[in-house]
This record gives sequence, C-alpha cells and structure tokens, in this order.
Amino acid sequence: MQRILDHPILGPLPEEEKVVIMVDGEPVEARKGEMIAAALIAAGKPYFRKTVKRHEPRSIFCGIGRCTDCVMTVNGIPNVRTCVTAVEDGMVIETQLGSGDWGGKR
Amino acid sequence: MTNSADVLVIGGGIIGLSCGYYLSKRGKRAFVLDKGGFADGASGACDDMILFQSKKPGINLELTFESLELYKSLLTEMEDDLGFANLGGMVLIENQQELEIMEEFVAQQRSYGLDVEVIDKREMLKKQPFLSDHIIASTYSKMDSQVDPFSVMRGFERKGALYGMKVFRRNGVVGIERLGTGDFQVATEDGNLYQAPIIVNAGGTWAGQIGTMVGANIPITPKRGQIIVTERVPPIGETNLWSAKYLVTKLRSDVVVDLNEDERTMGLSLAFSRSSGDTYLVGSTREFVGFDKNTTIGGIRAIINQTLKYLPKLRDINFIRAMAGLRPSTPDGKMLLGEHAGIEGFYTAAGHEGDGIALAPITGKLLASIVCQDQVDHRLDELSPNRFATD
Repeated sequence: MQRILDHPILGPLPEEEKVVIMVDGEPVEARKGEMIAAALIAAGKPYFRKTVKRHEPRSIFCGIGRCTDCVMTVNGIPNVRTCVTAVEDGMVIETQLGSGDWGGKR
Repeated sequence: MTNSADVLVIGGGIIGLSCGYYLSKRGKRAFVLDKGGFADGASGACDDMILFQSKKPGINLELTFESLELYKSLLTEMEDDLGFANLGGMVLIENQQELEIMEEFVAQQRSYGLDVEVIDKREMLKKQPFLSDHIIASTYSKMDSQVDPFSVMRGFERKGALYGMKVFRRNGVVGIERLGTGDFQVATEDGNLYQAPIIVNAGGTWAGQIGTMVGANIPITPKRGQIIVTERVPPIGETNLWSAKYLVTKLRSDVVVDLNEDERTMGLSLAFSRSSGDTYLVGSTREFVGFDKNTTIGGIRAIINQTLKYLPKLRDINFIRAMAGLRPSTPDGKMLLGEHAGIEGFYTAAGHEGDGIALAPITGKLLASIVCQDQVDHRLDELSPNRFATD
C-alpha cells in the first residue's frame, strides 16, 4: 500500500526525517514519529501476527490502541500494540505467532 | 410454589455443585439453591490450582491426591478438557532460614509419598530463567496441577442435569424450618418453598449464616484474596510459582520471619500460575476485612510490586483486571464435612479456604457417600462439624 502523498483535506505530506526499523530481519524505512503500524502498512506488510489457535493472519483493526489485534514482538517484548507505538531508529520488530515468545528464552 | 427434593444443597459454588453432582449421580434428586449468579462468589475469583506443596502431611494432603485422581476421571465423564494442566510447581526460597525449614518440610512431604524435592539455583533457573537473582533455591514438584474452575462448574452443572440435578440461582435462602413430617422447609428470596429430608450446607464463606438458621455453630471467617490477571503472554518458565515466605509463616509460628509492610498487613505472598487462557493469575492477599469483596488499589499495587521483586521481567507486561474472593477459613485450617449432631439431616461441606478448587471433587464424592450412608470412613472424623459444636 502506498502513502497518501497529497491528501484532499490535509494537503501534501510534509517532509520528515527517516529512521530504519528491522522487520523480521529486513530493514524498512519509516518516517520519524509515526506509529509502527503505519510504517508497516506503507511498506506493504500483509499481516502483523497470527492467532493463537487457528493461526489466522491479523493486522490493524481498531487502529486506536484498544483491540490488540495489531500486536507484535517489539525489541523482544511480545504483545506490543503497534498502532500506538512510535517507531524508533534500529527498532527490532517481529511478526508474532500466537502469544509470542521471549526471543528464544523461556 | 413448593418443590420437593431428596436433598437441598445450599450454595452453588464449586463445592455445592460438586455435592449436587455426586448426590444426583447416586440417584438423589438434588436441588442446588444459590443466592448469586454463576461463579460470582469465591469459586469464580480464585486461582486454579490443585496444589500439593502447600499442604502439611495429613488429611488435606491425602484428600488432594484423591481429588487429583477424581479430576482425571472427570475429564472423561464430562467430555471436556476442563482446562486441566500439569505444569508442576516451585516454591521460591530467599534465604538460609527458609531453605532449612523448606528442606525439613519437603522431607516430611516425601515420606508421605509426595514427589517433591529441593533443587539448586542452576536447576531452578533452567526451569524459570526470569527469576530474580536473589532467590537462592526452590522446591520442585511435578505433581502440582490445575483446572479451570469455570469449566469444572459448567461440567458439574451440565452433567448433573442429566442425572436430574437442578440449580436455582439468584435465589438466596432466607429461612429454614423443620416440618411435622421431619422434613426441612427452606424459604428463598423469591418466595418459593423447597422441601427435603436432607440439607447440605455448602455456603462457603456464608455457611455460618446458614448454620445459624438451624442452630448450628460454624466458625467460618471470610479471608479476602485479591488476584490480578495479566494479558495473554508467552510462557514465563515451565512451572507455576509460590514464595516460601508464606509457607514458612504458616508452618513455623516459632520462627520470626522478616515481613515487609504489605506482607504483614495484607497477608501478601506470591502465587503465580499460568491459566488455561494463556494469562497469568497473580496473587495473593489474605485479608480479614469482613464480607467486603472489593479489590483495592493498595492490594493491586502490592501484588504488582511483589511480583516484580521475584520476576523483574514482568515489568514489560500488562495486567488486565483484578478480582477478589472471600476464602472460607476455619480455625484449624480444615474443612467441615459431615452431619451435625442433634440436627438430623443437616450436613455441612464448607470451609476450604484456599483449597476449594483442589478439593471440590473429593468433597462432593465423600459428602454423597456420607449422605448415602456408605460404610463410615473414619479418616473423616477430624473433619466433622461437631468439633465446633457448643453445648
């Protein structure tokens, strides 16, 4: 999915500093200050996690930090709501399977 | 409207439903009368443990073994997994004094047939890598198990119904009288009357109030336990956890244990178990505050602070809700099970404190056996309600 570069009401997208986040081991460029979910949608990531029982793919649903559908493992911490967590340079983001894991340690 | 049954069970928590289930399985027409809704008392606000390690050798430990076996057979009878799991448990030891006391306690439990041992720090961290560095050792028993209380209660109710058990909710008992026929007549809040020759008082924390209606002395005191529930998280180590501190204070009144403010005033100690829903149940307080079953900010904060002391890693996870239940505690830490002398047909099955989930099946089965006048099991003499009878 592409970013809206010229919004009919908000106008043109302003310039913003870039940061790089690591998504499942691949570098992805993001706009400083935007939410992880926004960066991932812009980068075309098809799903953020898979459900516990049926391993169904999920992405954002409410987009305002309530529904927890968009959670991912961020810097080794599972269940981080990506729609309300801002990107940081060098952040390590992983697709979460089920309730996730503690980065190989358990 | 008057309803007749063989047995009226007063109280529809896990104990009352277990009694109703096993009675109806034995062919008794059992009605369960409950003042609240489904699982809105202590049975729905507790953790989920079938815990062996907290038990002194004696009747409670013995019955826990039997209850675990019954739970295993209920898995088949109820055609449900009941949230049953066998993760094992560890009791965390923080200093030399606790280590010595726990070593002695573990030896006693082992001689009683419990599979439990003290393990060193290296072994402990293999099972629980996130534990704080100040913990010097722990116990480990693979016996400690758990069930989901809600699934168990639904199971008793669903399967009991097939044997004719009926549950009447939001229908508190307001009075009990003895009719000329010898039967009891129980009046409930909605104006209905129920008659039966036998009453089983499974009122939990409120069992004393039911006892008063027939002149029975039942010294049960509510002890409030607050518990918090975390979000769903990946497993934190392999086992469930408790702190030795609580066991030591309980086992050895002669030993001065260094307690902090929360531990002293709220009876706080760690209980940490992974639920069948992938959340963690973390507790707990043990407070004497009458019949107040509200959670408190102070209690929640104390549980969180304590948990972080043992498991600093949990700083990264959220808790989603808190609950409190009133544990029915008795002066000697044992339940009341049996008929009251001088009140023919009136039985009590209550006073399990923190062992209600663990002991529910065996309580119901034994109660049914007593009511049906099977051969007398003299092990149960020490549970007789008559030990508290006043003359």
